[in-house]
Formats: sequence, C-alpha cells, structure tokens
Amino acid sequence: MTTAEEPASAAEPRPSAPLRRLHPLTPLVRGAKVFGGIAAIGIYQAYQTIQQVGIVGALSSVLVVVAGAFAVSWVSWRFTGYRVTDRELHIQEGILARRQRTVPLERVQAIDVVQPVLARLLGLAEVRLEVVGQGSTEAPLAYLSYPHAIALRDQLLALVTRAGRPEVTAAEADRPGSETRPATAPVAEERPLFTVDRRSLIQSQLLTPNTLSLPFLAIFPVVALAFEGLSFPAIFGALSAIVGLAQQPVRRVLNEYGFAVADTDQGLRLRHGMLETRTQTVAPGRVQAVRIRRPLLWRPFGWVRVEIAVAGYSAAGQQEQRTGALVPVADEATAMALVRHVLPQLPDDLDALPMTPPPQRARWLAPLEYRRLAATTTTELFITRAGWLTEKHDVAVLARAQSIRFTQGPVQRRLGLASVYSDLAGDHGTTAIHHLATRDALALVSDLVELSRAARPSRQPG
Amino acid sequence: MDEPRTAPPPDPPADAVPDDPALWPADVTWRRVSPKLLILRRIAVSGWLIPVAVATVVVVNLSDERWLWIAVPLAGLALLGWWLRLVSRAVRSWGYAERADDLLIRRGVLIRRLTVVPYGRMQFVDVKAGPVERALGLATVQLHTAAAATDAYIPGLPTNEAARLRDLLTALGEARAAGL
Repeated sequence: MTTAEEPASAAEPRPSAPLRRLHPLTPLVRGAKVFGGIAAIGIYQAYQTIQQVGIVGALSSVLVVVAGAFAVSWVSWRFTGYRVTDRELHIQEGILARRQRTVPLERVQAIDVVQPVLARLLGLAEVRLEVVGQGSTEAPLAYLSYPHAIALRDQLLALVTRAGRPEVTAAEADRPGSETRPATAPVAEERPLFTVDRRSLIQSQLLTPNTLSLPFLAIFPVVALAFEGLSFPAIFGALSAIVGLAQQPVRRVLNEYGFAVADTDQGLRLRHGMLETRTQTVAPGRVQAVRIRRPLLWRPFGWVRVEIAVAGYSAAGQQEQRTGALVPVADEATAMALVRHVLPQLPDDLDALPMTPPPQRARWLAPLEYRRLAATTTTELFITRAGWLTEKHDVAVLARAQSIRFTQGPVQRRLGLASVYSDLAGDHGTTAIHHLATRDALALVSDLVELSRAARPSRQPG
Repeated sequence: MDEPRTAPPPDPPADAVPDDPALWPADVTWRRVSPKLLILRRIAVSGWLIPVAVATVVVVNLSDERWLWIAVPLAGLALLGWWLRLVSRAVRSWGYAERADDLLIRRGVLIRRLTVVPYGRMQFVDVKAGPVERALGLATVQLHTAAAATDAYIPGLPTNEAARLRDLLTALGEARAAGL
C-alpha cells in the first residue's frame, strides 16, 4: 500500500477516497481543553500574578494564550484528515512534520466511540481504534459529529470483520471485486442482552471494602483533633487516603453507570458511562479471557461481577474512562447467561468440574486461599479458581494463548510447588494458577501447549 | 509429568546443570547459551559492586571499630564469592529448545522459569547487542508476542547463532501465523 502525499496522487494504483476532515467544531473543543488547563493554573496563581502585572496585563496575556491555543488547534485541524480504504485506515496529521499513519484493519481489535462531557454537549464524538500490540490507543479520530462517528464505526467494523476473519484467504480478500464495496455498511441491528440495575450498581459499590473503610478513616482526624489539637498533617493524610480509597468505587459508578450490553452482527456492543459515555464494540471471538468475581459482601445479594479481556485494550487506557466489565453487577443467572453468550464452550457447572487442586503443603504459601485454588482444562479453555474472600474464576480461551509459562520460586521449590501462566494478548490477559504440585504443573504446561496448538486457528492458505 | 527417564536427552550437558532435570521437558534437545555470557554478567556484577565496596571502605575508615577492618573485607569477599557462584549458575541455567511448533526457553536459579512460545504467535523478533556484548561477539534475541507478559528472550548467543535463530523464527512465525 502506498502512502500518498496527496489525496489524488498519481502514484495511487486505484482511485482512492478523498481525504476527509474532522468536524469543524474540533478546534473549539481542543482549544477549550487548553483553556481549562490554563484556567486551573491561572486561578491557582491569580492573586500573585494580578499583583505583579495588573488586571489588564493578566487578562490580556490569558487572552493571547487562549487565542493561541485555539489558533493552533484550528491549524492542526486544517491539516488533519483521514481516509478509509478497503483494508486500511489512513490518518494524516501534523503541521510541520507531516505524519501519515496507516492502520491495517485486520489488526484492529475493537472500535470505541467515546463522548467526553464537552464533546457530548456539542454533539461530537471520538472514534478510537484498538490495535493489537500497540501500547496506546492507535489513531483516535477526534472529533466527528455523533451520527458520523457511528456511521464510520459501522463502516470500519464491517471492513474489520471481513479483514480479520481467518477463513478469508489473502487471495479472496484481494479480489478486484472486493474493492468496490459500498462505503457505508448497513447499520447493525442491536439486540439488547443486559442493562445494569442502577440501584444495585451503586449499592454494590457501597459494599466494597474501599467504601466501607471510609468511615474509619474519617474518624481518624477527629480522634487526632481530640488528642493533639488541630494538626494539618493528620487531616491532610486522612483526606488523601479517603480520596485514594474512594477513587475506585466512584470511578466504577461513573464509568459503569447505565451499563448496557447488546448483541449485534458486528459483535458485542457495550455502552456505559455517566459523564463521559463510551460505546465499545468487541468483534465476535475477540474475547480472550473472562473473569468471574463473587465478593464476600455481595454474596447475600447473589451478585456477580464479570470482566472480559479483549486484545488491544491495554493498561495505557486505564486512566481513561475504561472498564473491563462485561457485567458490573448482576444476579448469578443473568451474569452467567452473558458469560455463556461470550463463551458458548464454557462447561455448565464450574464448581462441578473435576479440577486439580494444589497439595496440602501449598497452605504454607497460601494459608487462606489454598483450599480454593484449582485449575483444569477443557479442549478449548483453561479454567482456574482462586480467592478467599472474593470467589474468583478465571477462564482463558486457549486458542488465543500467546505463550505458556511455568515459574518456581525458591520457597515453591522447597515445597515442590510451581505456578503456571497462560498469557493472552493485552496487559491484563494473564490467567494463572499458583502452587500446584510441580508434577501437576508440568503436566498442565504440556496440556496447555498441546490444547492451544490444537485449538489455534491456522491461517495457512487453502 | 512423569518424564521418560529411560530416554536421555540426545545432547547431554557436559557440565552439571544446577537444576532438577525432571523439571524440564527432557525429550528435547536443549541448547546452551555461550559461556562468554558469564564474562558479561561478571562485568555487570562488578559494575555495581565496586561503588558499593568503595562506599563501604569509606564508611569503615571513618569508624573507630578495629574489628570492622577485618570483618568487612571478609564479609565482602564471601558475598562476592557467593554472588559470582550464583551468576555462573544463572548463566548455565539458560537453555532453549526448538520444537516442531514452539520454542522453549528455560532459565533461573532462584526462580526457575520455563516459557513456551508457539512460533505462530510471534509478532516480531529483536536481535540486540550492547557494546560489551558486541566486543564479546554476543547478542540477545528477544521474541515479542501480542501478550505483554511474555518474557521470552535469550541472552548470550553467538552472533551467527543469533542470526540463525532470528531467521528461523521469522520464517516459522510467518509459516504458522495464526489470527489473534
């Protein structure tokens, strides 16, 4: 594929689609972001600054910076464009150093449509492509109008599903006929599968150790006050601890508010978020692992949380509004029905499976957990069980295993124990079982290697 | 796993390997890394032992305790000896084996590791060599899969062996490439 400098270069072997611009309001949103940053600093130092340069000077310098930010955003918008071809997405950007990026669609794992608060108010959205083996989100297209973003998402998904299917051989995909495919794909029909119950979502996050320990932290500065008078370190320490602890539940409620799962022909569609809304589409068969969690405090309500690992979603996106959840909270039957929808090959009753437990001596290393530790394989899956307060089940899809690892630390060696890992694409995809007897662990390694080889889709021509 | 002990590995290691032979698949030919890796590792160890030693000598000189003048060098020598022994065991623990469908890499003395990477899962292969490695004619081959957790690399390969491995892995990786 040539990387043409101009939209209609003569070097291009076939007439390509024209370079398309992002939405004209893009510079406004981008500039506003810079403005927000300046405002934060400005307010912080406002008093000092105004004293030094006077109110007029301060205002005018702020104006200059803001105008500059908008101007830069506008120019960069002028020079940014994208183009969708049959098997690639081209993005052109940069003012001085022009950069042309080509995203091969067959490597795209998932496509998200994200609406940050400000963009949402203006009816804009961002399209993000998650590509295998990239540390960060490849090629965010920000911003498009929401309907446009949806249409682009659907078009790309249609191309991705076609490009990524292993059974499509290279010869077939390169047929001349496939180039003249309609640019717009039919909008996939959505079949709702699950919507989170808002009340249980909030209640479930209140019933986490993090939230429940908050009152104790609040008591601490009060006690400190009573004993040693007003002490800023104590209050400040408690405050930062509270913020740190409250972060996860608050973020989960914000992210997973209104969590809805729907089935489409293009894959599973996850929609969630309170302030920033995100629509994720996970192409069929791209789920690499499933994690089922039953925390102790949720058990009276029969609640379950399910997370999925999809290749391409990396840790770099963690500070963003992303969640690995498939089911933030739901009752057992609903949650397991969804798990089965994603992994039809999952055995019926996980607890009834014959699993290999670690030997008694594992209690030296995992005194509380060892009774629950166990692992097994089916022809397509690697299933592990763990957890003491929180019951954990991890299920990895063997066909997606990237590597199998065996480790044995010094204490494990004394006890004749070992751990086995199955690595999946992405940063969170490792499924592990710890402290199996060395002999069982080695048997498990060779089982995993054999089974994943048998399960792996081969892409040999013919 | 019950290893078939009756069939010894075709290439029995000449020097004693400091690990339990039952621990690793024995029905494959394990290749060793170059013994010159030991030189590299020793340089690395002394590279940060010398500053520590200098700092210790300074501290000891400042103190009035006479017995430290003997105890500290002795402890230092013991530590150095133990460390160098550990390093040489660590170097000898490295091994890799090419099987029909995957590459096995084993390593580690304190923490033993075995990594199995199917050829079809390799995204790309890196061959790296630092200045000291180059002076010794060594290189490190690193395999990358789509998983961040895959820690598959082989240090201390002679340059031509590294090139052979890279070409072989690339060819096999292409032939067996599987969709994610």
